Amino acid sequence: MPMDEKTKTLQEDFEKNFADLELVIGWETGFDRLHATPVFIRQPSELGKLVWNPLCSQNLSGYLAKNLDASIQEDGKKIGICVKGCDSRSLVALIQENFIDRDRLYIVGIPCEGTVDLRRLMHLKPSLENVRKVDIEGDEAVVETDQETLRFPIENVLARKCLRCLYPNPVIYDTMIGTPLKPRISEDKLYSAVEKFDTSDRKQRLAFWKTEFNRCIRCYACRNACPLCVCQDNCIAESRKPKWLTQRDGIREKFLFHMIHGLHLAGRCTECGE
Amino acid sequence: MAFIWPAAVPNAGNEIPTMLIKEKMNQILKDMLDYEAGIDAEAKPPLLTFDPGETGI
Amino acid sequence: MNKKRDMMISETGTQREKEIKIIGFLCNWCSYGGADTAGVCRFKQPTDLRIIRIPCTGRMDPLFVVKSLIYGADGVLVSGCHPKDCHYAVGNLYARRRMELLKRFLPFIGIDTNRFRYTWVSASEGQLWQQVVTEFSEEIHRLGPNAGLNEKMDAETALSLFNTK
Repeated sequence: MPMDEKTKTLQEDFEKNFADLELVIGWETGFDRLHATPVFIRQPSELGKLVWNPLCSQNLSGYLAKNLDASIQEDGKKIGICVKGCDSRSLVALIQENFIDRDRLYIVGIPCEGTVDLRRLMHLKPSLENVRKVDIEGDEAVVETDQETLRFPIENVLARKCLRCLYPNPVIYDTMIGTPLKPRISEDKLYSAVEKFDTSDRKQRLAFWKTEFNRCIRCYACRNACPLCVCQDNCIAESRKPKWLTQRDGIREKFLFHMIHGLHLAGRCTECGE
Repeated sequence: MAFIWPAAVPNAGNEIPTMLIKEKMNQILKDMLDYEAGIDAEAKPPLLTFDPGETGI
Repeated sequence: MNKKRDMMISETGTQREKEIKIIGFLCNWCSYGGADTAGVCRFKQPTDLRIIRIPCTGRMDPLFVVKSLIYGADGVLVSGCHPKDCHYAVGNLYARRRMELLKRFLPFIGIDTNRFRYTWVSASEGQLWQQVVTEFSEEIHRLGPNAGLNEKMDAETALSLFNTK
C-alpha cells in the first residue's frame, strides 16, 4: 500500500474510533517535510495532522511509561498509539513489566519498510532542501524535492536498526494498516556485526570501547530516549544514594555509565535504535 | 590482524555504537535462554525469573 | 606533567604486581560460612582475597563486578549457596542467570573474563572453599595485575585500531 494511502487509512481509522479515545499519539510533519515529529491529538478535528512516512522513526511507546498515566481509567477511555514493528516490541516489553496496561491502549500497527536515517541522508546530500516527499520503493529510497527526484539505495540511507530488522510487522495491535511485509534479512544474519566484532583481539576491543566511550559526554540523551529506561529520577547514574557515578569526566565513569545502561536493558532491549 | 571497526557498519559517522552493547546482550540471551525481548506479552523477561532445572550454567 | 603522572602509574603498576587484590562477594549464609569454616579448620589460604559479605547472591548486581574490574580490581569472585539450597529459596537462581550473562558479556567489552568467576560453596565445605580460592588466586597471579581503565592506551593497540585496510 502506498504511503499516502496508509496515512489516509490511519486518519480514518482513528476518526472511526475516536469516541473511545482520549488521546492519540502519532507523527506529524515537522518544521519541514524532511522531518517528522511526535504529535499528541486530543481533538478529532486535529486528526488530519497525522502522517505516516519513512521519516517517522521515533519510537512513541516511551511516552506511555514515562510521561502519561497508562493505567486503566474509570471512564474506560483509551490511548491511541501508532506503532511500527520495532515500536510494538517496546510496547510488549512495557506490558510484560506492568508499566502499561494492554486494555488502556488502542494500538494501530503499521508494517514498516524501514525508516530513513536523516543523518545518513544529509551526509550523502548535504544540500537537500525543499523536500516534498520521502518514500521507500522496493530497494530504493525516493526523495522528491521541488526541483528533482532523487533515488538512493536503501543500504545507504536507512537507519541501521532497519537494515537488520526482523520484525517489520507489529507483533501486537488492534488494527493493522496495510499488509504484513517480509523482513529484509534472515534470522542468522541478525547478529553478524557482533559476531564480526567478536573475532577481533580482546585488547583491541577494549581499546575500541575506550576510544568510543571517551567521546561520550554523558548527556544521558540515550537513556532519556530509551523507552525501557523507566527509572527516571531514580536512575543510578544520577542518584547520590546509592552513588555509582561521580561528576568526574573520566573514561571510567563514561564506561561504567554505558555498562549500567547496557546491563539494565539485558533481556529487555528490543533494539528499537533510540 | 586488521581490526574490524564496527562503526563502519551503517552510521552517519560519529555516533557511539552503543547499540552494539545491547545487540551483544540480546545475542547472549538468545543463545543462553532462547529468549527474544518484546515478542510475547505473556512471557516473563528472563532476568526477572528463573528455572531451577537449568543445568550447565 | 602527564608524563610524570604516567610514570607514577606505571610505577605503582609494578609495585602492585606483588600485591594482587581479589574482591570476593560472598553470601552470608553459605560461602561466608564456608570461608569461616576454612579459617576455623586452619586451612592455608592465599591472602589476596578481600571479602565483601552480601546477604544473598541475589543481591549481586553484575555492575558490582564490572565496576570492580573497571576500577582495577585484579579479580572478582562471587560465591553463594548451591542452587536450590538458597537461604531465601531462590536468590541464587536469579543470580545464576545474571552471572552467566555477565561472564559471556565481559569479553565483548574487552575485559578478560577469567578475572571473574562465580561458584557455589556451602557453609560446611571448608575444604572446597580452600580449593576454590587457591585455584582462582593462582589464575589471577598468572594473569597478572589488572590495570583497570585509565586514560592511557598503549600506542601499539591504538594504532592497530586504525590500520583497518
